[in-house]
Amino acid sequence: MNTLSVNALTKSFGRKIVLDNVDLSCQAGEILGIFGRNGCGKSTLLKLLFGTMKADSIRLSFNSKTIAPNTVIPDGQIGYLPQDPFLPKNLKVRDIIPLYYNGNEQDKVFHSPGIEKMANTRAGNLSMGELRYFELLLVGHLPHPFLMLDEPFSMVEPLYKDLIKELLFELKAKKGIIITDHYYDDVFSVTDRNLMLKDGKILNINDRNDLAAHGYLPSETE
Amino acid sequence: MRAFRQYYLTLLLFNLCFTAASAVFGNLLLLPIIFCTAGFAFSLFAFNKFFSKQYYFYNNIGFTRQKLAVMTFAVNLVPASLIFTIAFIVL
Repeated sequence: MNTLSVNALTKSFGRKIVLDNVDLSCQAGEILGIFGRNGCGKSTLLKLLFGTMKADSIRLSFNSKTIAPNTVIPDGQIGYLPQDPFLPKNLKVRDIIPLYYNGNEQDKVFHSPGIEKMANTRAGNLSMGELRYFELLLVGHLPHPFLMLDEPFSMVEPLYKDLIKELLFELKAKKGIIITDHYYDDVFSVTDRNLMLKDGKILNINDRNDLAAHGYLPSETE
Repeated sequence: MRAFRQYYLTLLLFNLCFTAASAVFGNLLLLPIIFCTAGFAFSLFAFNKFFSKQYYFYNNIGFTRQKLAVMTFAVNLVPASLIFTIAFIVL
């Protein structure tokens, strides 16, 4: 079973230490949720793992074999759904799919629920729900053993949230998935294990009471 | 490679605009050099300025920023040769 591990991850911006000697791991077949307040370093963590941002220190390993962060993209180890839309806005959905997949592989995306009706729409004209769902379909079906999703549920209408959740359960069979999002009920509904970033450290989270106890949610008595 | 073509065509548009604007002020024989240097740099700058989020589109299928830039520079040598040939014939 594939395992992605990161150890001794430290990142600071100026004097502010955003991630302080962080350790975490994710296995194939697992969806790992990461919570944290704005600015706590969730997106930074994902960019460091993806190799598009340089860490002060990091030890990244894939199945116990150490890998350099700058090989993650060329070696196709991790797929990444960033927080902001990343598709060329001028291209239609049906023209974007062949840029990612060849031949029959395109069917995995073309024949997914809801894609046919948006096939002739330009990416820039899709609703936020359609866009996030389509982006996840594109990235999720690539052969990366791990997938990181930055706010896949944010600003997404309920119908598309359900489609996204179904897709995540399908992808989980083959991949390890890391999710960060403020929509904690949606995250709890798909994750197997949850963590929270606070003051640069990783904390284990079991339920929303833990989120309240660590100051991410208001406590019930407030 | 189809994805790279999409990236390349976006940069090419910026590069051709810059190079064409440069033609007003300079020697036509310098155009290929401008196309491969300042025009190339301008096209990278413009893509970073207006479409930087799109790098994730290419990252997910194995293209790093550096790889895209190197490939673009290499492919640019082809139109640069054409521009040089045309400029040489015109002059």
